[in-house]
Amino acid sequence: MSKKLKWAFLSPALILILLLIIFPIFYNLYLSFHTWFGNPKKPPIFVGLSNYVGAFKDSRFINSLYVTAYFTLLALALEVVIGFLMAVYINREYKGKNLVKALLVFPFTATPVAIALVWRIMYDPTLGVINYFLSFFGIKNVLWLSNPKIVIPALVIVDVWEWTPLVTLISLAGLESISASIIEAAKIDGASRSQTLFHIILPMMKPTLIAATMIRSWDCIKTFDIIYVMTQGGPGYASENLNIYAFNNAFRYFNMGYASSLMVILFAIVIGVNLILYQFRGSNT
Amino acid sequence: MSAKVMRKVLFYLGLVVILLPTVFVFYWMVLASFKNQVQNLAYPPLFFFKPTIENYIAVFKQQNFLKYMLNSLIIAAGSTGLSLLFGVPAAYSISRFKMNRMVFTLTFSRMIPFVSYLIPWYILFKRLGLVDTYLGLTLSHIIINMPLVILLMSSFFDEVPLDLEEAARIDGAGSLQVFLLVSLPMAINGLITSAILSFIFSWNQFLFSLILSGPKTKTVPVAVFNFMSYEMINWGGLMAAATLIALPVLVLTVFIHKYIVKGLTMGALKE
Amino acid sequence: MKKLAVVVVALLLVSLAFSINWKQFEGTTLRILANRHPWTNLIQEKITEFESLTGMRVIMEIFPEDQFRTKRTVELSSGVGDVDLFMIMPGQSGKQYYLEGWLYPVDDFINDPTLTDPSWDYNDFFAGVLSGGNFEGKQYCIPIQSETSLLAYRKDLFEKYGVKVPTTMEELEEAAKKLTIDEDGDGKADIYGITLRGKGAAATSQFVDFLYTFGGRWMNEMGEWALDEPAAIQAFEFYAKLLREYGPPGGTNIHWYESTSYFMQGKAAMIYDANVFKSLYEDPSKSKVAGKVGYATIPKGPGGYIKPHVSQWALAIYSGSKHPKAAWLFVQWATSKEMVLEGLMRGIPAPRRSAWESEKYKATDKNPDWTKATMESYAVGNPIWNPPVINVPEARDLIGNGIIVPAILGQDVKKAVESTLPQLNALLERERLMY
Repeated sequence: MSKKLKWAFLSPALILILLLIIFPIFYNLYLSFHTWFGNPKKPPIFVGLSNYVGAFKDSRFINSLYVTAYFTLLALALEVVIGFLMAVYINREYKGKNLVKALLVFPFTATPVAIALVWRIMYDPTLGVINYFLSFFGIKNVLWLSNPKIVIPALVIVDVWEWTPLVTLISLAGLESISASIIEAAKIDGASRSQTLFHIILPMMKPTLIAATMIRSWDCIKTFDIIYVMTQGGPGYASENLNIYAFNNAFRYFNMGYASSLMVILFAIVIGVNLILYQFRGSNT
Repeated sequence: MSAKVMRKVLFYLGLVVILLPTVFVFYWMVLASFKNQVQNLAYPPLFFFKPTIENYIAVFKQQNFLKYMLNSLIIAAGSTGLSLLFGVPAAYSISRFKMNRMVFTLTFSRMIPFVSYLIPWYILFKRLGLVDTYLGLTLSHIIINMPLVILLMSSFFDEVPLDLEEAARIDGAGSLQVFLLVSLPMAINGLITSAILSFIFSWNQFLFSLILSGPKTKTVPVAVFNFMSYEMINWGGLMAAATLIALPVLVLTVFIHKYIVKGLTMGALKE
Repeated sequence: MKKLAVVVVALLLVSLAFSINWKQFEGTTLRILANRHPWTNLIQEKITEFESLTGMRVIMEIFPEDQFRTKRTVELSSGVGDVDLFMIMPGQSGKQYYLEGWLYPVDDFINDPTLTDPSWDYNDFFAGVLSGGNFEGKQYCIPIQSETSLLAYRKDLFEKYGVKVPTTMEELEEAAKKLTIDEDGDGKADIYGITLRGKGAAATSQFVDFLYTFGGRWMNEMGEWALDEPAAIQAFEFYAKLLREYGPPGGTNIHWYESTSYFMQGKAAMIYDANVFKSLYEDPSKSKVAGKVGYATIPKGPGGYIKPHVSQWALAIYSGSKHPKAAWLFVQWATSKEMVLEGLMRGIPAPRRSAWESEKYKATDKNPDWTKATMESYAVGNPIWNPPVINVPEARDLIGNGIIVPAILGQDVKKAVESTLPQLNALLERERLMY
């Protein structure tokens, strides 16, 4: 393939994406150095870095960082661990394997907003079906979405429910590509099942798992739908992550400048996390 | 019972446990769509009740749902088509010239918080006369689809043996011919997978559609929210609508899940 | 049906023969941004009548509240929106929208005999309700619904347990206590004494009635926050205690959706919320308690008086509209005496006196106690129901999340107020600099 074609093939896509993102990026960067209350007839006032400096004195912002980190770490860890273990479990030959795989695609193809609403009705402490089941085991009135200590795990459960299958399917594909002869060889060497899993399969799966983590991290850090539909950041500020806080500033408070600086910070965090994961992946392969 | 049978039973039991949450939530959603408001809020929750199809009738009647379905279909198909048209050649180029950094660059658009697109895009699209047009919405969905297509397709092109392309070239084929007649057919699985996943993500997209659509181009996810009224949440109607939204995608999924799984594999391994 | 419509239109045309020229803007297209609301359903049904009356075309885009606000923000802040009219809660966004110059004053239209029909009767609107959309002497918003909050209670349960309708706050707590009932004896209540909103910002619009009735206020005469005054602290504590001890579990996530659901499922003996929800409670297809509900005003506070809020939904013309006069015709048509009465017949609390006093309404009123309590509340209600700042949503979030939620969780109210006041003061400071 010639050099000429290289750019002829690449540039249409590149230009199209740039055309779509360049204006929003500059718009947000520009506003993040200004105070502006959303009135197009009143020009934004330049305030330098004070939006960024102010953020670190704002307790709601600090709290939202904590919520973002808590939610993301918990969700990512659970999704990757459970997703991988499920894949190991499913990865053998049996009748109905295709059906199992098909079912696993369900949760992430359904509209996220609708899923969040179903969970909201199921989580209701008084009328919901989850507490109804738990009552058989003597557990009563779990306040899923209204206890500040439980709300994030409760939201993580929904995210885990929705996205673990994606990790499972990715892992499954990775497992299927590990040749059977390697595992056979380990068996012959007298390795136990768990030894095979942890010392042979897991290291080989590392790039795949990191990739899955990266894909999930894009959306986990920016989680919006689930939180907005179920708690709107409550109770109090207990589930207000950075994306929700930025949204509130832009679309409910008209603090457009401040909101833009929060978005820029959020964008920086996503890129930062992805770069770290990228490095981490590179080091051992 | 022999140990072998026993183990098999235990294995299937484990499968049931794993899949139970997935199935239950969908079961509950569909069940709710056949209940009226009183039944939906009943306690203890009702598992057996006199079902009603009122909710489905309401969805089709009051909400002009078929038109919204058609809108969603046009936009999802359009953005999928455009993403493939632009993304596939780009992916090929990336694969052949090993431009791994470029993949990272092209996925930036998915790392930007979607909320920060809304106002600048509205300004841009309004000036261009693209608000409430299929073209406008289609373009906005490209931001979500194109990174995916590029990521997946470049992995698939990596798998196409270079020898084959070399052989074609020796036979006198030009680069473009090699791409169209050799590489692309070899990567057909990837093409189908990318198309389906693009379609799903576009079909479910809510935020961009809320801002850039209008009466002419309203999509299904935006329409679903019409079942949240001022005074209460019409659970039955909402769940009926949610079921109907998910249905086309689920049918698609069940038929083509093999390709999706394959596609995810390749994308993951490439990353 | 069609015949009837023709007759109605014909009658309308005859009655309008001596009035303004409704066809003067024939061919204009109006774009309206609306919130999903019972009023919107009513207007949507009738919109063809308006179109044939005026020869205009109306595009009405309707979204649930959150999406509606997002969409409205984008239209206004982008500077390229082409909306002509939008719904607005003047008590919430009015001041900000007025200061940003997004609202079109309608006084000149009202006073123009070629634009406003005498039968529209401006003075028929409740003065207090109008004042919510009036800024510095000019009218910007025309109310389509006026809302207050009422105590709704289960008549059957009150009778069964020998409880009388509370008229003071002590009686309210006592009733809530008595009616928190453990039917199966498992140590957990099966019927809750009362249900209230406890979710952040949403809770503030019901809490305010307790604040005022206890003698508290958002701010003092100097424009400083008065939330640390004893009356305010007492109101926070009382409201939170009611919900925490006699309300459904998980109070901090209860929005009106949840609260009304509990009441309609028969899980709560009382509810304090907007009077507009009567039409829900009384609809047997949605409610198990239809026909068993009584209505009363908020009980008297320690000062021996009641002070509920009166809020409203209104229509406003966007200052950037290209056809404000045509838009005014729509406002006029949509807030006419007939339309408001029609709304009241469907349970939308009317902003016009004539509707409440009409024979047609009185003859069919199935809940006279609701009407009576509503009238009493309107008579003494305070139209300023939100913290008197410009950025109302942020203040509501800060107070709801920073004080009411911790209070419901049983934390110390004074401490919560103390830690929230600096944020509220910072908000005021910012507004002083900007406006």
